Amino acid sequence: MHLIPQSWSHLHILVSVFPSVGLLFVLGFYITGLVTKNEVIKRSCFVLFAILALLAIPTYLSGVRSMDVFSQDPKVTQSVLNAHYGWGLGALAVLVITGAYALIELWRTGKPSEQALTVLLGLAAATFILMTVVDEMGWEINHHELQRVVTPAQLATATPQAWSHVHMILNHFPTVGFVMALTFYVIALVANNDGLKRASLATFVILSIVGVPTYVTGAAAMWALTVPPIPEISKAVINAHRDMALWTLFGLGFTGVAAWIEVWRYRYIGRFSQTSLYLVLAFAIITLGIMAETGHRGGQINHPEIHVATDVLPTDPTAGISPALELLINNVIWFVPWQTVHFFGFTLIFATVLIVVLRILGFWKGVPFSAVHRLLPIGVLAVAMNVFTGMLMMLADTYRYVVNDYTFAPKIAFIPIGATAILYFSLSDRLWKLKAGEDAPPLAKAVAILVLVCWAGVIACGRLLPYL
Amino acid sequence: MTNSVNILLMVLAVNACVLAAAFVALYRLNKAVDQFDR
Repeated sequence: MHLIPQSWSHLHILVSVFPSVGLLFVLGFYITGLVTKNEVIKRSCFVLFAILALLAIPTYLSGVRSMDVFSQDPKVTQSVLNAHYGWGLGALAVLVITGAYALIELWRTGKPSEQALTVLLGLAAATFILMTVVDEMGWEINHHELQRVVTPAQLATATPQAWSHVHMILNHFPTVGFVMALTFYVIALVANNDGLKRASLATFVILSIVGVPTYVTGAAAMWALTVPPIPEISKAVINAHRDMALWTLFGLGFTGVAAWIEVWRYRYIGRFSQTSLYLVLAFAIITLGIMAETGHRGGQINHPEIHVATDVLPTDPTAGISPALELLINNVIWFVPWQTVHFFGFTLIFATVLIVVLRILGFWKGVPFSAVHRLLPIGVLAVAMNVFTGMLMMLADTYRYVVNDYTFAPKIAFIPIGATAILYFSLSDRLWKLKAGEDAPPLAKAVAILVLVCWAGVIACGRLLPYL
Repeated sequence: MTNSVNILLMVLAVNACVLAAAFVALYRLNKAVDQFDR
């Protein structure tokens, strides 16, 4: 891995994701700061808005130098380059204004006015929207595989390139998100701010669960890029990326579960355990390291412009952990035991969800919410168990699951929505204070229905896999 | 027949290990908050 970029294009790929995807996370924390009236979160966001604005300089310079290189490439259309440049310039200008405004508010004595806070929110949101447009134009420059047209004969077996596109968008969330979440988490530890600690831990949980659709869309993208084959794309390089993605999934699992346990336990103990907080920090740093290597290997699949002379790319498509696991799990003696664990997992998830959701909806009003909240770790451990077993089962026949089975995509979409919504049960103060005999607030009831629908959807879509 | 027995043994072994580990983790986690619960 060469994390220090050795070309302008490589620097542009690495740095440009922060003012776009990174900005979304700062925006999320900023909104959390506004809603919870947490001054530490708000001020941390001011600093980060300013830092992201500073990144406009390397983003612009590396972009202009990359343009010089791409202008010589006959496969790159000049109008696409110009559109990306023009919109990019506009987005960076608004980003700089946002950063400067945040810096001015930071330096002002006293609390910023409500109006100033709202203006900053509007500026950051506008920057993010512009950055999204610029990013989409950026893909078009050299991701020509996204526009690939297959012949009618190839149509029956070809996987839609939309999967490659979705994977390229999704994979930036756990990677860039972890950098941003770690930054906020370190600030929270240094400032000893419980609100920021909870927000950062919740972000780790969400990012960990986003790892599931990222991994699955990666498998679909693999088929989109290899059947029918694209000459410049190597299955061996893809497998090297998949192997590292497997380790990422483990890292995300450990970080996500450890972070969630701390959010859950905080409710009962009323403070965080220093040991657990530093354990989450260690998991997050290790996971980020693994993800950096995964991302780098992913970049090598279809970015020849970032290759350097010392790069030794794999050439054997049968080498590595993923092909070996595929062979192993295809043996019924391995598949059936893990499938049974998967079934135990979803019964545990659904049982937990049903009990908690029914209490919120008004069943068993004699039970305080804190009593049913005690059951949540059963469901969370079962989710971790099922992500692992589900990944193993998917490796038995990725093509069938991700390309041929129509209910696999909705099943995978329901998982992050259902898991993220469950976080609300541990984060809502109103819900936590719900005593025996009291009715839950309407928002909690809406979230409860969403959770129930999502997990019922996961089970139903999973059961329908062999038939649709 | 031998294959079926092997599959059954593997199902029992894998599930016993995973579920026992999950049970121990849950037990310890619950015990840790017992003294603070209302």
